Amino acid sequence: MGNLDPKKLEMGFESLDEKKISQLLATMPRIEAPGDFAFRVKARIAEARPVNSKPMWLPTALKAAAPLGLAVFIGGYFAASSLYQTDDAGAPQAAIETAMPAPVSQPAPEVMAFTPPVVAAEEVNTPVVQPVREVAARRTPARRPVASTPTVEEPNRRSFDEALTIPREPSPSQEPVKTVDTPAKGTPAGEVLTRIGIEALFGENGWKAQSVIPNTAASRAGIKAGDIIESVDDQDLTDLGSVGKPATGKKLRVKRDGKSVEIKID
Amino acid sequence: MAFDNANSIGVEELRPSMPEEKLSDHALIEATRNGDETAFEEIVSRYRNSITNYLYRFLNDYEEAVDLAQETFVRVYFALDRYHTQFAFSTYIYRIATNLAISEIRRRKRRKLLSLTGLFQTEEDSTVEFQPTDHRMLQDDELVDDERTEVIARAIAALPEKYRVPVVLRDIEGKSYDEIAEIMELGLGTTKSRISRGRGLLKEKLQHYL
Repeated sequence: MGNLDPKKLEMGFESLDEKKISQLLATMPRIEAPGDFAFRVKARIAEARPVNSKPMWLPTALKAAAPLGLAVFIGGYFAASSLYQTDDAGAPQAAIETAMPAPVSQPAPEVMAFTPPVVAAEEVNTPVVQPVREVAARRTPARRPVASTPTVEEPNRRSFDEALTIPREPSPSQEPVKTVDTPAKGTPAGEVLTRIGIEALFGENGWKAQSVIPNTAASRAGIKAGDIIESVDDQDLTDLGSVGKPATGKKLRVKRDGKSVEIKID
Repeated sequence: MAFDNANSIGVEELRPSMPEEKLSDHALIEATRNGDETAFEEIVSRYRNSITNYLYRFLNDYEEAVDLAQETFVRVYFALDRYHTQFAFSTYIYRIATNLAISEIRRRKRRKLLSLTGLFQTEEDSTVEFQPTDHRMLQDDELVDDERTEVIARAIAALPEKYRVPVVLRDIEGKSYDEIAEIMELGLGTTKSRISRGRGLLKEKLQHYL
């Protein structure tokens, strides 16, 4: 094998084995096409042939109409969607209005102003529909407008800035404990008298003792009901106001039977 | 061209209308261009067996060979206006058939890459073309029974396409080196080299029959 032969080389074979291979392949039986080969070819040609009956302007018109139609479709879609969104936003309010019973006699605009839409929407879902006024009053009691009667809580409703500027009044619990010996400056006159054991009321003639508490300094000094207390520690009690200076109540001027008597209390 | 209008007319009925002397391929092409509905029938009749046999030896699949042979004639029919008569028609039609067959081989390769069988192939097997076993009966029962023919056919089908085309054209179809070079659009030296290399590869597999 592999022997070079000049003659065979001229015939195209580089070796004897190559020629044998060529001869071996040449002995392969030939295969024929099926009987309906030509018919199938004709059928495929007829199937693949483009139809000439279509007007030639149609593809051009389609090329122009397709993008135009697409643009119109997109524009129409956005226009329709925007309109639909507008109607949809107003739909819940309209539904609430139709679902809620309309007030027959007394429309309550001020109540409606305090009634959030959520409350009204929740009310729509309740099995028993109640008037809007009652619902608003029950669910938002703190928001009910109070026009005439200020309450104790009114100062608490001041703003934070107001709370910083207005001086705070001492609460009763924060007042310093007052003793008989050292009454605070500006102590009310009735309170000074009470400390020494005199229950007095301010009348036309001044502070008039109504009664004297037994076993007190006043009772030991001989103060009696009906006495007019004119001064305490040399400070006249001419009005309902407070005693100007700190008073101990150890010196009283009492008017009894038209006569003023000074009494010292131990 | 009114070739498709002759669907109802049989080939045998058309043949008597052909002239007695055998027209050249170029004359038939020209007649087909001028609307002669029998001219293309004659072209099909002349080349259908050789193209089918060539494609069958190339693909080793009869049904696929017949299908591609029919497609070859369809391509020829729709490309007649672009065909230049300075080239041999046989070269032209074989080139179309070869291109279709190579496309089919490459489609099979892509299908092979997608299949799981490629994962278990050895490196030696990877040089062999993917050729699924064809269990269908061929036209000639004797061909199926001939073991030697079967082995040779498988050996040819296992050749790389760049060697398979010139070997089949040369040793089975009997084409000249010049025709093969023109069909493959290669130089004459490259064509001869590939034929020799293809025969060498076949010799390794067919040593038993030499």
